[in-house]
Amino acid sequence: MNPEPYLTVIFWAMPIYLTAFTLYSVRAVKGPTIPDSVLAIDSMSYDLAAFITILSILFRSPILIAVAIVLALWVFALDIYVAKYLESREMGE
Amino acid sequence: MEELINEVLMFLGTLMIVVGAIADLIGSIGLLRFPNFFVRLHAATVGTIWGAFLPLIGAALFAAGYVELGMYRWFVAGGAVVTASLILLLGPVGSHALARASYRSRAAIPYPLIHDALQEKMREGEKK
Amino acid sequence: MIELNTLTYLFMAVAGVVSLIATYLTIVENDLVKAVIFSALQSTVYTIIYYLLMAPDIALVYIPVSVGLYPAVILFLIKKTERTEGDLEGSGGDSLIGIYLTALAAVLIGLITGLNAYVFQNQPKLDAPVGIPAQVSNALISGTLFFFNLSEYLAVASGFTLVFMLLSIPEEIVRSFISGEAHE
Repeated sequence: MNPEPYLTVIFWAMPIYLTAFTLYSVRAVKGPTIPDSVLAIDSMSYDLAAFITILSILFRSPILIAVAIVLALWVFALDIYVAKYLESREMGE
Repeated sequence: MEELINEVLMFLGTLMIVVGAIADLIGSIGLLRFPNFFVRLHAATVGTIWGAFLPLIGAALFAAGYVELGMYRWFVAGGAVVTASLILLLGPVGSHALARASYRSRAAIPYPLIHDALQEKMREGEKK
Repeated sequence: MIELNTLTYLFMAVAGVVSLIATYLTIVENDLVKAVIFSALQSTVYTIIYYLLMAPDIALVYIPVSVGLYPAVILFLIKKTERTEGDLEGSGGDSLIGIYLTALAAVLIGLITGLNAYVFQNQPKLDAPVGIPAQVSNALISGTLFFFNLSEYLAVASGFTLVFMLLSIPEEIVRSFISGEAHE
């Protein structure tokens, strides 16, 4: 039928994702310990993956969706690297 | 009949995307206001599953019903479903590895602490 | 009613400010593991900027290098050498001077000849007729892009050479050299 009202509703939900992105980045910059920052980057990247997919529908360009898959996978790898580094110095700093 | 199916798919997709936006806002406010790292993991769970998995499923349903994209709407729907299943599987694994490493190496201390049951089990394991 | 373009520019502005803060904190921080995490944060913000500028292939390459492989190599190197940076200044390399000169080249030419010119200018514009040529006798150098690429290649190559040299020495020798006990 007519997709215009649905597109308008989705378009007005976009600034809420932008606010969530800003608040996540405040915690990533401010976090007093290292796992705080890594957790904020993790959540922010999954939120960005959802945002990228919705933007690729609004821009009407279906080639743009490959970035979301790659982003989700590599941020998980960053989590694992930091966990391995922290655990190899047990009872340390 | 086909127009009705497309309309229902677009409505469900929009609903899921709006719910995901609100849940992301709640998760990010929680990540700012909780007192230490181990309580913030609960807020990050809300932000990951309700805030990223649900909007991706909603975007897949919306793209499957949005006829003006042409043939490529199935590509968008497939990519969104793949990303959603990856986030569903990888998010908890990464948070669990990070929490275990940060507890055992004392990079994050559970400061307003009432009772730590894991510490007793670790001491029992060391004595044996 | 705001349109899609306004939302795109607004998001690019917010992302630019966040990445600037993250870059400043990367340079200033003394604890090296935190500096690596801030660098990963800056790379995540850069991928959304590349995406909004409609360049998904650059974003697809930038994510594995900057978020995946680079923190892994640097964390492995930190485990070998030292955790906190002392008060010594980093050498940085002399190829950064090449980048400064290339960025200011059009301004210098404009100051000498008295014409109007901008910083980072590449080709002549309508109101600033100073430019660096795009072709030199059938060889394509694309103005300032050639010099930027050359300087960045030298800087990154020297950095990675140093990293791999440090990674191939056993750990005890590196630690005793840094803490000043052993001497040649």
